Amino acid sequence: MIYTLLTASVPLILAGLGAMISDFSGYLAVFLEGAMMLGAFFVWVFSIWSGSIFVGFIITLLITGLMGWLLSRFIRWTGANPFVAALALNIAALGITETISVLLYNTKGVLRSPGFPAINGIWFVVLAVALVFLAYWVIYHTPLGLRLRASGRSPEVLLQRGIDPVRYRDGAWAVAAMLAALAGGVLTVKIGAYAPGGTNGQGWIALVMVYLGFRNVGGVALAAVVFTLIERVGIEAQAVLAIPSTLLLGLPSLLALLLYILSQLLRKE
Amino acid sequence: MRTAGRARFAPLWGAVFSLGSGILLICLLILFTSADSLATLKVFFLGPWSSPWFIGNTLDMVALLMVSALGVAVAFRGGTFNLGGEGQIYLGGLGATVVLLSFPTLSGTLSLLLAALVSLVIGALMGGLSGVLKRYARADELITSFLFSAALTPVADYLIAGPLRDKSGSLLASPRFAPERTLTHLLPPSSLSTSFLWAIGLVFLVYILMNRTESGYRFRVAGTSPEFARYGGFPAPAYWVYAMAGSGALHGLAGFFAVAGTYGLCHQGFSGGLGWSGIAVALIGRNKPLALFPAALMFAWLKAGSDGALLASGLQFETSAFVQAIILLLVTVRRKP
Repeated sequence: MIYTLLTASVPLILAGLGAMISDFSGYLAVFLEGAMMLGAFFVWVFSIWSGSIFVGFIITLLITGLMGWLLSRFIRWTGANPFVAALALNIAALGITETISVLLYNTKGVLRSPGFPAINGIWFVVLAVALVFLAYWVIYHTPLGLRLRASGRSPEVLLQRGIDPVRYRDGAWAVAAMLAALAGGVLTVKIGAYAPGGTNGQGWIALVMVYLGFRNVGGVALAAVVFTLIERVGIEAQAVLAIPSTLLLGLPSLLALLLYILSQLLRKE
Repeated sequence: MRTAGRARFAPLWGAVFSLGSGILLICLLILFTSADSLATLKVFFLGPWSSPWFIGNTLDMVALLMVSALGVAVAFRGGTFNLGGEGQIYLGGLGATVVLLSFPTLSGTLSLLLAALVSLVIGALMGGLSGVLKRYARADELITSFLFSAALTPVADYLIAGPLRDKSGSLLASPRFAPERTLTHLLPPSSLSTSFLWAIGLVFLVYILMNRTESGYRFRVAGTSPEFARYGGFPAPAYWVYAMAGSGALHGLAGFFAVAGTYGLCHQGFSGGLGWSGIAVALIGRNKPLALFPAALMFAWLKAGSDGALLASGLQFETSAFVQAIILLLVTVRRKP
């Protein structure tokens, strides 16, 4: 039971962690949905191409990490609005996956192949837990983490020490994009196929996890697990009530909305 | 995020640069992928204006883009950012559909008016909710508007594919509306309808309300400098609700124009990308109502041209996502690289 719950919540934990890290830099990464989509697709493409899931993940992470970093650098160079420019990546991801899918496989639909390597889901749980602890240690116990937290929460401190706080966004966005891509890849591996739109807004829900976890690393991981639990219970309940499955697609967003409002109401200020 | 939401209005440079890059991108795509690139380029630039049918369709797209971009601009000017446009258009159009398919005793004009009103109210409620939540619960309107629209979209999908579906057709769509219950088409058989005139009217209405009245002035001040508004005695939070509700109402109306004008029925996913395109157009027009007309015209030209060019060259992938993405990426650029 606990194992099933943990495997189910791995994507949200990873993406939520990415959202959290970007939030520390002061610029919430609204491109997570797009990064997840790209991750889900590239892991499929490169795993098939190389015959190894491991290689597939490495190449995917390199590409998406570079994209997140470049996006942040681009915004710094040109003075573009970080929010609007990040939205562009979400839309671009849609075009990129669709175009490559048509060029390579001649379809816009679900991709399946017997050649896709399988892997035991337990490794993802181990990886997610390890990454949460790693992030916790880096963010709260190293000078780098201290400066990252300062860059978003009190940038004037860094400015006084002669460090440009916005620089920390480059790294934070690169890591956020990689974590979201990892989450997307996990989705693909779990069902053993690539389904367009399979991320179903999880990148946005990951942003909400930041608030549900009261903006700290442990909280976000816990919020992701609890959210997945409630979502599962909801799906089970709906199955009993025989509610059409199309409507279920809206459930995670609705749940995230309600919990977000609740957490904002409870927040002390 | 809080500061990022207050988009600083980009200078004209961003608009020109992003549109230029969009055109360049499509041209490059054509040059590299098309067998007869010269002919395809001609289709790209002149196709949207090559016959009354194409002109009508392009102008109709301008109308829809203008209304949804107007909605985005209203939210921006009031100091908020509405990301739920897509769902507000969809649900607004759905509400209009329900009205247009029922009440057989009503006359055509009355049912159209009622449908417009229903779509407007649905949109306003959806947007207004985010405004209220921002004001009273300090919930970020970006997140709430997006999630609310994402949660309701499957409901609309379900209704169109289920109870509202025309069982005789193979499309996932509602039955066609009675002819007197659609907006008059101006250039048949193209999809251009009187919604074009209404859209222009709405642009002027919003311009006058926002730039020529005292409450409009307060609205803009509350949006650009909340502190100043507070000292002036009209705290900004109240205006967030108006901004989001107004934005939602205009998006709902865009949904009405799409079903009652453009399509004459409601098919699953008819709003496809209109909300995102609206954001791009509003940013190109720098959130100024009167500038939305040229912005929507350029965007519709680019979109119609690229769709036509791809059809002509036989490639089957979507360019509209790339066009939207490159414009959003570049439109707020402030410094020349």
